[in-house]
Amino acid sequence: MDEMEMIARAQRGDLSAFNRLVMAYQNLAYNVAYRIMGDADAAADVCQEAFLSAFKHIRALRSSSFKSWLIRIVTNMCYDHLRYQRRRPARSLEALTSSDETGEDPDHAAWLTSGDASPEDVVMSHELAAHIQRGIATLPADQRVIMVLSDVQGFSYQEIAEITGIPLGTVKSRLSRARARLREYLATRPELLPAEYRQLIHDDEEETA
Amino acid sequence: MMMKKKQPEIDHQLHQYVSQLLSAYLDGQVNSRERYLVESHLAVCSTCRRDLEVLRQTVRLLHQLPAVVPPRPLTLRPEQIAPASPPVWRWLFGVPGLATGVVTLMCVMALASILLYNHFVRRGDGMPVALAPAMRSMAVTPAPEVTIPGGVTAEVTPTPAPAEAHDVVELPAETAVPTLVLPAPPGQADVSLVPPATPTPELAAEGISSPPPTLPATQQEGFITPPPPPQQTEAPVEARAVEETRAQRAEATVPPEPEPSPTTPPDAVAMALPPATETPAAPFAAAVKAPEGQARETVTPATPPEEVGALTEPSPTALLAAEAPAIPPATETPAAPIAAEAEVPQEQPAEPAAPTAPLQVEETAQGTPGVSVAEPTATPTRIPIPVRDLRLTIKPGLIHIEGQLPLPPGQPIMAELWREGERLTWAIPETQHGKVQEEGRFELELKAQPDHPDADLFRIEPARYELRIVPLEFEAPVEARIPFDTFPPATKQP
Repeated sequence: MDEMEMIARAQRGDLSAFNRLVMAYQNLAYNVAYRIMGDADAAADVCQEAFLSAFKHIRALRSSSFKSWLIRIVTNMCYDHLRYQRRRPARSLEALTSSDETGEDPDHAAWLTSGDASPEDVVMSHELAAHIQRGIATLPADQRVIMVLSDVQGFSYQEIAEITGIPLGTVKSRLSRARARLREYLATRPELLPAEYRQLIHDDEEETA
Repeated sequence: MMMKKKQPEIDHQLHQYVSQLLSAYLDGQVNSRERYLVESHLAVCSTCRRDLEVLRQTVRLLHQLPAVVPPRPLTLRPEQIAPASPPVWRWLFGVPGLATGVVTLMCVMALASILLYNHFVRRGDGMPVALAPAMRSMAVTPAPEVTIPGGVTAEVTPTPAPAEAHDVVELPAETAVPTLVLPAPPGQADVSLVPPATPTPELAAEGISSPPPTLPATQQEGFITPPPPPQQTEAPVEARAVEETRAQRAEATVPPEPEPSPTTPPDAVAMALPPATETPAAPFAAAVKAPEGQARETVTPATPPEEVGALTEPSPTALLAAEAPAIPPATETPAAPIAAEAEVPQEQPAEPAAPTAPLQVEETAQGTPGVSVAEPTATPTRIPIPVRDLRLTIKPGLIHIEGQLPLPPGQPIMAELWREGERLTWAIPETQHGKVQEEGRFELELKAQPDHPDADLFRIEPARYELRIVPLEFEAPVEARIPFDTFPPATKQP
């Protein structure tokens, strides 16, 4: 797919060209949204809205990268949804992510684990992934977004600054705080962590004690 | 913990400073001065060394989080974006296409009337451009569930052959059924069961009673190589339907820029298409499935009427059909042949027969109206097994299929996509594999390889396809075949 070509066509209103872009980026967008929102349906809704918004505004896309631009829309939509959720405590993110019993957890879906994953990997992806996801959900939204972009999706600081419109220094400091906070959270269930990690925490506690 | 220093001589402030830099240091996002400070401090501070390691592990865990897959495709459907596009834009894009494609006076006339019609319809409800008759009927029809078949997102649910009443085929209301020509029901096994010659309802009924759903002979012949003469008449009908729907579809999907198709721009075709004899809604009905009434009567033997009815109900067809008669614009009538020529040359032979179609239609409608069941290409080596509760959804770049197979849970299966008897390398290989679940249930979602030119099966030349579900490492050489095609469905006569 020639992305530039598809963008140009989409800018002229070609929906099928735009949908090619959607297909190329929907997994990324969805993963970003899912990790930020912590809920599969909400993430899909966010992405759908984001793509719709992107199509409507794609003419405004000039020189910047489509990917960054799109993810920016997605993260902004996530912010909006999180704010909305906060106003409705019954469906708060915490509630959605803090209980193992709530609905479908994509991390738990067996079909998501690729066939060639080792048993250890699978175990990790079930229990630990849910634990990590809950940990991410405890972070304030601005830290969460940056952590997801950086550590889950592997965006560079520069890209994150571009996506979020936040200065590089702020990206660094927020990420630093987010990691420290997540680390604290992960330590609450040391039994889920890899042995290596557990040992580090253990040493740390001993020393502190 | 971080505060705690092993070596009292370590500068507390430096320790604080460095511990805040560790995260960026881990990512190589520190300048040379910071790097120096961090590294020299790490050399003497075991706490920071451990913190750095914990940080590294934390990031690694995050990075190892499994990728999740969207629960549904996120591509946009035309109707989702309709309100946003100004009518002017549509006008602009529709007209040039017509100009190139329409050569005959008929077409021009049809165009004028259709454009006018559409103009109002479009203004009225903001529907995407829908020039084809069926579309118009939809616009008029009160059935809100019906969405225009966006070529892009066109979701097709296989219509169960009437015979297969017990096979549950769901017609999602929102699906753009018309585009999809329905898949043949469960395996060939059924086919063989059915006496080849007669497509009579009774036969169908018989077929039904046997576990594997059977398609009425008529149906199959309609699309494939129809042997017996009685059914031949149907072929024409179907063929026409095909063109129509195809045109509609093209209409719905056509991007602003004229399609590359040299001969006739889709929209042009759509204009020309409206077949005189058939009601606009017909294609839809065909696509969807046997109209409830008929389906029940003829097909029922095996399945309780209610079930059939239930299956059919959600589909807009009934409504459409009902409304259809009122809609057909007179002008369009003559256009049908033309359209046929322009759009699907291969179907032409069928055209002449069209007049007779009405007579036969009844039969067809009973059988598998919308489902043009192609007779699966024979591969003698594998024994066909039936699929039940079949549900097939086809979207650009994606084929979703689920159903029930007579295979044990845990049995690995693989789907192959065939076109006109040739196996395609279309899907990303991993997406072709799956496992049978409880009670023989299975679900596969084939995704087209990135940038595959044929990703959207509806954007390319209509053809007969087959999905073959093959159990891997199975004791017997069996396979389930799900034929479908991308020809527009047969029409039901008013």
